[in-house]
Amino acid sequence: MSVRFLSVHVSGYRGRHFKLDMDDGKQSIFVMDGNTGKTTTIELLRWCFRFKQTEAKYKFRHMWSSPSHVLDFALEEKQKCWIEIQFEDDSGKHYKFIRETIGKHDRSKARNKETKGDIIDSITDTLEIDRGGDVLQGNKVNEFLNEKFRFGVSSDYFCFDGEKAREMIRMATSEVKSLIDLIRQRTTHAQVQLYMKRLEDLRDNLLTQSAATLTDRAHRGIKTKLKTKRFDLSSHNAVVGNLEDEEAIYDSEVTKLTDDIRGLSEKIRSAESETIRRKADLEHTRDLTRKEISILRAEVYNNCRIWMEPGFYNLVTKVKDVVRERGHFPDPYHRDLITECLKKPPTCQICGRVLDTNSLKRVKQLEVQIATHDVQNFLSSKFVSEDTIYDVARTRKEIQNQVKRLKLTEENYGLIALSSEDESLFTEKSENSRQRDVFHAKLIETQTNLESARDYQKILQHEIEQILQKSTAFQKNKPLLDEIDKLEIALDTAHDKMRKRTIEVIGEVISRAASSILGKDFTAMLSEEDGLMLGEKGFYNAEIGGYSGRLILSYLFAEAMSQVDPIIIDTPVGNVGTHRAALAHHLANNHSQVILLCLPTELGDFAEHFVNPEDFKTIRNLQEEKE
Amino acid sequence: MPKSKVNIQREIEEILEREFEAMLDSLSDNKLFEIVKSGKIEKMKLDDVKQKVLGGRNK
Repeated sequence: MSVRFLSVHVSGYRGRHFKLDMDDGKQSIFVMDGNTGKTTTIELLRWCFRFKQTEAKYKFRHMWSSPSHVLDFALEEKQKCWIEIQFEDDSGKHYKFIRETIGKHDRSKARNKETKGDIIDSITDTLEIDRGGDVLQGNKVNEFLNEKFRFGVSSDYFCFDGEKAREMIRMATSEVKSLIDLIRQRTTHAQVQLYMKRLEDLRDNLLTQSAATLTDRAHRGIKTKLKTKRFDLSSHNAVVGNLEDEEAIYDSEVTKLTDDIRGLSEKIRSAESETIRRKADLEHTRDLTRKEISILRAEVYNNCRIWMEPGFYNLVTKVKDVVRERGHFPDPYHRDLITECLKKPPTCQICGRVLDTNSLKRVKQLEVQIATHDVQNFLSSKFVSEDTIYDVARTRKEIQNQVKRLKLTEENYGLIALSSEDESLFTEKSENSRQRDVFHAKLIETQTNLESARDYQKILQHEIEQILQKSTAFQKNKPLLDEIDKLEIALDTAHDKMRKRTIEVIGEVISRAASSILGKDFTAMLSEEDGLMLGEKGFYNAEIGGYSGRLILSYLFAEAMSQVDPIIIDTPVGNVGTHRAALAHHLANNHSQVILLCLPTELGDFAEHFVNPEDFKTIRNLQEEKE
Repeated sequence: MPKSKVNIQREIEEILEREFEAMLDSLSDNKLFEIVKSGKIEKMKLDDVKQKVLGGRNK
């Protein structure tokens, strides 16, 4: 969404008093020395746009402090601070946002020896639209700004600073999952969310209509159950989705490493040196022996019930005998007979008598009173394994022998000296194997979790189905409820596909932008496995480009995540090095308005690409000037 | 100095819109989706929705 910021006026917050005037929404360079309110401006904008009036108390953060004080700590008396942000939208409509905070800053120490800090009485938001044409107040202000301009979800990106850049650099390669989650949020299409909301409302209406014939209590019961189950199912679908993504990542890692290991093994096998072949043979024997030991240990573990408690199976059989012979289980329950008895008119199939109400009730209860076929079958089945003897001592001996063999092989393996080049083949292969084992273990764990998650998904679906089936009142609306379910799944699938494609494009665009700023040798790569990385001549890793390169990458990522056109940056070129001019051109080309809060040392070869040096505005704290 | 010709935000919005259009196309013969998309659903009576979506199946 394109807007133009006209001015930001800060009065009192953290002791700052100044006005940033953007001259009708032009590119603006504000020269602000250290500790003059650059970071405070950025953090205030984020705080105002992100939090609603009722949620803003004690949510202000400042660099690494969260929460941090927003009031002026130099004042002992009650104070009133305000910020006024004026901007225009595409059509030229004017907006004036004001957040006023009243409270007191308590500098005394609490028991934990920390300063007590802000004691806020009230926070008040006001938005004046079209110069008084309309006025919004309270939480409606934030809701309006977020819905119309997407300020809330974008504030971390279009209000940018070094702290956020560092966070992104860290996230780009070390917290890939969080990074991908952010991108997923960015690629969520608002219209699709609206369709989902309409479907949910339709379902609610249908359920309410279905329940009109029920008593209030029954209605509430069924509706609550359905709502809970549906919520569980929807959360669970997300869990399954995440696990599927994880499975794909681990699977691809295992495949990649297996290919690498195969390539290295091939190199080792084709080596002419006798020593290498001997070492390779020993390696093969070592791996086989390790595998054999694992199998034997697993065998011991799997049979532990037999060798730890030899009488276990006999014990179970004995218990069953006692239950069968001395217990009070009646004859097996004859389902067919009972079904026949209950047919209309209900008649006893043994004596031919028509069943009265009490008899009918008793027959219906038979199933819960007596053991079902499953119980009878269990009691009559044999619970004796044919192989109840397991010679654990023999297996133990075998394991000991294999361990001896392994030790010997490892010793011989260690004695073979190779050139460092040849040795590196083995080291690399061994490291790859170790990594593959780690990923393989994770893959298996994920697959097991996925299987359980899918089972639970089926159970929840079945339970929802059951609730609907049991209530005849809901039955007549079931065809339409089914259509809603089907459409929700179709929308979800289509939305997912759309996101994947958009993520690919985000990667491509960031890469082209990186080339245009850093030079044609540099590209970027975005993937769900490795995150966002800078590459040089096609080689990617987390260190390419140094700090300045990765800083540029974090700018590009922020631009991709923001849905608001202007960008406001605190200390824009602190560590950008020689790429200042290229970054300036990029920012000017990407944004209709760039607002920069620069240190005096940041102007050369950068700020003049936006405005003439005579138009730079030096900002000082108005309060201090008065004094 | 080469001038950057990449406009990140615009390109992302464009692809999101293109993919969104493709999604609309893929669901074009779904009667319920047609109603949901049009926004009329909020004003329609449930019986009319049922009739429109289920046709003969609505008994």
